[in-house]
Amino acid sequence: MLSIPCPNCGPRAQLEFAYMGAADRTRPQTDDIASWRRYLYFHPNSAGWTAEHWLHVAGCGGLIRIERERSTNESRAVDGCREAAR
Amino acid sequence: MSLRGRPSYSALGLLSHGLRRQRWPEVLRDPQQKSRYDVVIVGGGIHGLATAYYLAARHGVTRVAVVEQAYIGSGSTGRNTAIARSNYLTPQGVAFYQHSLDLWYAMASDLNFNVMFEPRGHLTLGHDDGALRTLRWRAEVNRTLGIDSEMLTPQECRKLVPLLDISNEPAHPVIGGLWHPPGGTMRHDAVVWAYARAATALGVDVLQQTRVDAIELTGDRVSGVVTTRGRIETNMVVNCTAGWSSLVSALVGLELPITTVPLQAAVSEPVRPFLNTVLASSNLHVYIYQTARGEIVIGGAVDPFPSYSMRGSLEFIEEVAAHILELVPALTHLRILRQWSGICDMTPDAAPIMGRSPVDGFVLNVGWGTYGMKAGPAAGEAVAALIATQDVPPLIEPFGLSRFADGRQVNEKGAAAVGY
Repeated sequence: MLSIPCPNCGPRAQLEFAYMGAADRTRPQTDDIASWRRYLYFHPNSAGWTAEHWLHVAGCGGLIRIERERSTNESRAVDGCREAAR
Repeated sequence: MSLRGRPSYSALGLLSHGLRRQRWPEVLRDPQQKSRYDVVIVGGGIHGLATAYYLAARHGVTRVAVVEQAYIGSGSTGRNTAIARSNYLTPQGVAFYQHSLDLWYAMASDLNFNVMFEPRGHLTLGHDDGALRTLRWRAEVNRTLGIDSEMLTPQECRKLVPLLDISNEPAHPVIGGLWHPPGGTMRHDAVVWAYARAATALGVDVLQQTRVDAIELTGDRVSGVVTTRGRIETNMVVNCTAGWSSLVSALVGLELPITTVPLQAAVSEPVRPFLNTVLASSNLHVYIYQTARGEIVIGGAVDPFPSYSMRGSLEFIEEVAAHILELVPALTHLRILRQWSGICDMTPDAAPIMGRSPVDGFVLNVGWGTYGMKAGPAAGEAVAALIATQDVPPLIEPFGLSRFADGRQVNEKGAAAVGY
């Protein structure tokens, strides 16, 4: 069972959260279609430790940022603050 | 009939060999890795093995290596629920999957191997108007291409599946279905062995327990591959690694529009035969069929987050069990024997990526998501033709990588899986 370390509620089952995507993605600052297609569709899809956002829908409702190792599903908290999606 | 001097498996052959008590010769030898190949295929699943087979069988290209990190069929090919069908949404998708289905029907005879293909038909149920509209769209696209698909009423669905609950009792009652008679199932392991045996007999080297660690470029052209067995000189590398596609493409600095997501499955104890067809539900995100041994194979939607982990979860079983019981309440006491997981390379449009890449000599046969098993024969045949003739076969032209930059997606979400 994948456990997500919610900074507000403590480690909780993955079932309580919704995956919100990889963190640290920068939206294109132009309205150039090629850049937007690149941003929307292409990404590293890495297997190692990756920063992500999860929404604690069945808990505090907070949007949290964690790091998860995508081959083992081990996860760790990286900061204790709620973070607005950019 | 024997394949190039290999022993035949006729009844008489089995009897006489058994009486002589000799060892059977190994069909899949473990060859030495050569220092040069014309084509290096990364990935020993159905896509890699089929590509190798068609290169050798159709085009006489035999200096080919299939490099597989574990044992052949250990990835998604050995983990899927083994269904072939062509009831897709787009004309491009339908044409492609139908050609693959044609190859499935002929496979046992073409490869001289019993792949246990059973044309048992495929029934997809709809439980709301949106689902019914998509199912009807698929039926009509099928029919314009001359493929047998039709819409059924709930009563007609129950004629096909007598234990189906079509009452108003369930939370989401059945209001119609898409019936696709040409669909069928196969034994996925047998398919792996069939293609591997046939390719090996034609001179292809299948290198198992061999991982690709690096792909060398000279300028912007592929010039070699470094595996755990050493260096190979080559100008053609084909990525057939499904869930691992992005990691292999990263070796040439190429990013793909792929997210790797696990897909789980399960199988039950054997029960008396009661289900003759594949039964799927769009809205309930579940599908089942009964094998020749009486077991119920169960599939569902992908896990709700990306991962390279191949472990099953309790949530999956709970969810599919609840939905199966809405469809077939008689299965209340069915016991699950085992569950497993595989990783799927999901694309934004639920359609595959076949063809050249921006890196010269690096060809893609990826993006197979939750719909790759059925496509292996046609994809292998087409990618082999591309490599051998340098021309992009029209059947796969819509599925090139450039479609994402060009805005020409082939939108198969809604037909590619039960997860949407």
